[in-house]
Amino acid sequence: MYSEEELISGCVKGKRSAQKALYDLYASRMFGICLRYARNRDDAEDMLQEGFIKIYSSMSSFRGQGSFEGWMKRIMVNNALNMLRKNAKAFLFSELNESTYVVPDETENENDLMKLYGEIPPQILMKQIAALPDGYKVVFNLYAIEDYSHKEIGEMLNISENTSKSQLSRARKYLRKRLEELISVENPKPLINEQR
Amino acid sequence: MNNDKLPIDDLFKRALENYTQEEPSNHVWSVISKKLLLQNFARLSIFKINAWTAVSGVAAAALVTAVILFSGQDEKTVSENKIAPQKNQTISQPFDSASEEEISSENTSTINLKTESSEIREVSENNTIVHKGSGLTKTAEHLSSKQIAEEQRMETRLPVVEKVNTFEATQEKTLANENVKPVVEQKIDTPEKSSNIVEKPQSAIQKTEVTQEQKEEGKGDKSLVETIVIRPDVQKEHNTKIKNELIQNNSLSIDSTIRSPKEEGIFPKKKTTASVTYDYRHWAVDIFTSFNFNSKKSEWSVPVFQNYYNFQNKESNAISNDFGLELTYKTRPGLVFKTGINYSTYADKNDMDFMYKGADTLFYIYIDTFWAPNPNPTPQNPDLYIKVIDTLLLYAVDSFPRYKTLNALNQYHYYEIPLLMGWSQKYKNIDIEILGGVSIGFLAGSNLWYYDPKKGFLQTEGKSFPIRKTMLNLSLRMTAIYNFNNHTGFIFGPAYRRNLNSIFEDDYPLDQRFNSFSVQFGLRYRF
Repeated sequence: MYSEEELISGCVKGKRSAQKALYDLYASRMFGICLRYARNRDDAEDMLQEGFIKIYSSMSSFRGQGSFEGWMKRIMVNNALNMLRKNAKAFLFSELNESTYVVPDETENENDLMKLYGEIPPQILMKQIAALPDGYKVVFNLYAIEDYSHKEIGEMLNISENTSKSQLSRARKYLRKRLEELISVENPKPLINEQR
Repeated sequence: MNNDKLPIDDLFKRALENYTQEEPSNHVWSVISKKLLLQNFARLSIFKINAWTAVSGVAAAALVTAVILFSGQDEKTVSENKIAPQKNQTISQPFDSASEEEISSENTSTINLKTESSEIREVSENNTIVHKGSGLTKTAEHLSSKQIAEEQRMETRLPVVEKVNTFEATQEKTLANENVKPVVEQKIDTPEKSSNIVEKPQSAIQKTEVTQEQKEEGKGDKSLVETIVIRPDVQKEHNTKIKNELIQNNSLSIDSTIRSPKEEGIFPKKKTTASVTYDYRHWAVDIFTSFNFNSKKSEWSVPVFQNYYNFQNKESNAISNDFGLELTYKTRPGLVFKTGINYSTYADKNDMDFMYKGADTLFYIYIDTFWAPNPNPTPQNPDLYIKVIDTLLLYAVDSFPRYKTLNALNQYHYYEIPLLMGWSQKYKNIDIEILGGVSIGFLAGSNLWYYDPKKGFLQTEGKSFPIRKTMLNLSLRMTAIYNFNNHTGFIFGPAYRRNLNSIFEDDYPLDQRFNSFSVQFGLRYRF
């Protein structure tokens, strides 16, 4: 069993056993990231492959500042964005007339709803993310899960902050709608009413 | 953390930030592993090439610098050739008079030089001046020995102080080729035998004329006697270091006796001959042995290694040894053709790291039964027919993956025939050769691991040995040979070699070729 330091030094030296051990340790977590950005499972596996290649090849640049896993995640996210760019050539942001348009976020009773939605298995939530349009998906992932600010997202994706906000707002609305549909199909009104 | 996050954001973050509910397919690691293998291989090769290219570059730069320095020295020597010779000083100057006709294009030609200085004076019966040799020929006037010789003649003609001076003159000529003006080297030494060593040769040839007054006083009879022994004996064959270049053999012989200062005016003549022979040897035969430090880059297509995965091969730098016979033909302008036969041994270390497994995991227990008459019915077992086990088949196949590391020292032995042409030039003791061409290699033996596609596993040499028996290689090399003497030289220089066909036979699934940058060190003996 390797320690994290041994894993890193082994990978830097190109030891195949260390590379395999690193993959075994982090593959599923990194795959979760890829699934959030990819359109389907095949694309996610491609992202995972490329991401790990980048991780191995840039391992020597890891200075030990911060968490190793966090460093890997950043590489994986950046790689996912690059691959999306390559594949789609451009994100499908609907910039037109949206840069100043932000859909009002619904906050009323949201906490209650979230308690209800919290029962939804993660796999189902992942499917909702996967169903988002690329632009919504990327911004929502970066903002809600990766904790980037709109300014940072704008720089990463070469879009304006307002566009980022707009995409996020639309993504939230889209997800809410999907979650409501999901709940209404499986456990409609009574459950929601109970919660209320 | 963004302050304007909403509960829906947190919902997804909590659920998906560390999402591990789904595993990637098994083939993902296989693909990553294969890409890493190729990436490592490329990186390793690039590193090796860079390192060895740097070494080769330094070697080439050193050679070029040496060439420039040595050629610069030659020019300097010529330009400073105006001064009078000093003791043990070598003088070089252009040999202008050697015309095209004189330097025959034949392999051997002889030039008879016109003799001018065969005059001998008998100055005194009692005081003998022995004068041996001086190359007083028409050509000699270009050798800067004309002046010296004439002064010697003057000297013998005139009584000088009583002392014995001895010096020896030798001449050496080296003609690089017809396009370069021949350089004449004249060396004047004072032999240790001399009873009165002349510090400076020209002091022995300085004119010390006896005045008429001195003659009248009778001092000339005793004091004005000089014995000068000039021993040119220039009958020395000067083989240049490169036999296939134009060489000159000097042959001068003069034996004169000068006597009796009183009988001035009696100048018996003695015929003096001088000859200059030029040889041009186009052919040279060498034997050589050398070590080559190779940086090898394999070019190969990655085949599907049945039963192997995660296959990784690290190839170390190789050392090759050469021993051979070379035949060189050199034309006048420096064009060289080279062939011969040499025996080469290559050895490179391969560290192979891979996983393998056998057939699929199977575990069979097969029992076949049939009904047979009960041979011995009993009250406890009254049945007429009983079940009898017919066949029991039990087998299992272990197919657990195994890691394996194989450290193989692969060796190849080839007889090679090079067919090279290029440029060759000599700078003092150093030969520079820049050659290119092909070499044909004939496999003499090998000891290596290879992948047998029929068996699906790595094998040592066997019946299905797939190494190609005849190889064709591209060969480029720049070599400097420092000649210790006429025969022996030290070889040094960078070389490049590339397989023009795969080292494996055509039907073998792996097409592997080596690019090899090497630095050669060795010895050469020229017959």
